[in-house]
Amino acid sequence: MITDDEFEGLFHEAGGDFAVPARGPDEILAAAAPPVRDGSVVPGRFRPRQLALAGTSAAAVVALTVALLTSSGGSPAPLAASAPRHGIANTSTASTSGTNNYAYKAMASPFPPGAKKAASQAANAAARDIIATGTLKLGLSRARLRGDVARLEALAASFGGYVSAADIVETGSRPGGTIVVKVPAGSFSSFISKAEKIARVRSLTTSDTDVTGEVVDLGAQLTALDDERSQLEVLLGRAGKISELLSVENEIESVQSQIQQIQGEQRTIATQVDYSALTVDLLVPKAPHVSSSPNGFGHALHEAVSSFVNGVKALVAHLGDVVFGVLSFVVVALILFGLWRSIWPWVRRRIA
Amino acid sequence: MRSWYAPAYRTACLVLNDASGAEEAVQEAFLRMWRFRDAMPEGEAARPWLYRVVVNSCYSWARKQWSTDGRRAPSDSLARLAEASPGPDEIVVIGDRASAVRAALARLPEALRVPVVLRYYSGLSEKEIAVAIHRRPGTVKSRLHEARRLLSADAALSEFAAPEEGTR
Repeated sequence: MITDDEFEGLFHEAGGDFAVPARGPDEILAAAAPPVRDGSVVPGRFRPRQLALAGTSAAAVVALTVALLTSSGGSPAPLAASAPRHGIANTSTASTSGTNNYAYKAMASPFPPGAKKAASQAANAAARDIIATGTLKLGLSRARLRGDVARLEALAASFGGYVSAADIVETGSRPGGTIVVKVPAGSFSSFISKAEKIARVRSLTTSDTDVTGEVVDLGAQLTALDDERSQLEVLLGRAGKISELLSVENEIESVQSQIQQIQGEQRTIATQVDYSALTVDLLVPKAPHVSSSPNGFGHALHEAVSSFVNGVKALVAHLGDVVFGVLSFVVVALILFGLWRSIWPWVRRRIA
Repeated sequence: MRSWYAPAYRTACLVLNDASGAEEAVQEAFLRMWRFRDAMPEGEAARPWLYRVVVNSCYSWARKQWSTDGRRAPSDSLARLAEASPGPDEIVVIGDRASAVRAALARLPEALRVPVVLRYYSGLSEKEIAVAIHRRPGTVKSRLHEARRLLSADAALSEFAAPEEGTR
């Protein structure tokens, strides 16, 4: 058994075997000092976590710049929001009535010649995160409303999608509604092609939003916050005072909240990227007006009374001037008659 | 601070068995000491507090290494270092007692290695070690006993034991 003295000797021998870096304390004191001294930056070999944070931030900025240049620069964006897709230009958005409703039918193929090339470019840009959405307006009869909704649901299910929201009105003067279908992004075009065959297409709009830069930015933020949380957790164990403990705990709670928020945003974006949303507006033509008045004798009596009242109203309206004239004439006649009755005895005496 | 650097650095070297890691851990530890200098106890209590910061920095460095390697932290933190160290036979042949001690320490579980280094290199008492590693004195005592037993049984170190066995 080795004694304590022997252990101490062996350990001091082992520890003394390590050469102490001469620059160590000086560099620590320099790192503890303010970062700028006499206008020059203190050499930053220390604080590897801070260097890692700075490196991560710089990488995120570079990645964002590259993503922005790629999406809006000279190179064509394969799925840019303004690019027409499925053969339907964005200008068809507002055409829900009139002759424009049928302009869509003039197009022989839903895919223009350049669409396949764009799809190929999209396949090449597999690393990009794109959110695809669309709005499809279908015109259908009231009788087919329920059946077409069921067909859309079945079609979505066949593509591995689902109906995320539905607002259908089958009765009343304005039947119709809207359903939102979400299908896997890879099947979005195929789904639209099949959905167009269910009913008459009034209009179709699609848009693609490139969120690659946002995804990269969120990832960089998450990495930096994870690192910060780790550092704070270490500090938490070193806190010597209650006030320091509470301060570090509050800071950790804040960082944790930010991490959860970013993770939530990442999940939302991932869902939107994985599943494309198509809003299908189901438009049913307005039904013709049907009178609700009763038939038979009641109807005849009702019409007679209405006609009499209307006739009286018309008579009063049109004879108003005549009545006024007659009344004026009567008043003038009465005045003249009164005058004649008062003057006639005097005239009679003069004649006599 | 300068007088504390050498013992802190060598303690970290023995705990981590990695000179560059020890340098980085001690730098981080001293920065933490500077940041929390207001919390530093006065007098004799400062010594275990300082070693506590150093040991915790060593733990942080070791965790960072595991995450950098993309692996989960093993229960025995320095098992892989022990595997990379020379074997007892080779060390005895070389006759390097310091290397033999470092290799034997690397084979110890982390929970035993830290108190034994603090006890026999840094010279802390069991009570001070308890403060430094945030454990009860009874736990420290049992861990020291177990560490001594394992080190005495280590083939590399048994060569350096005195012919007459002393006990404590």
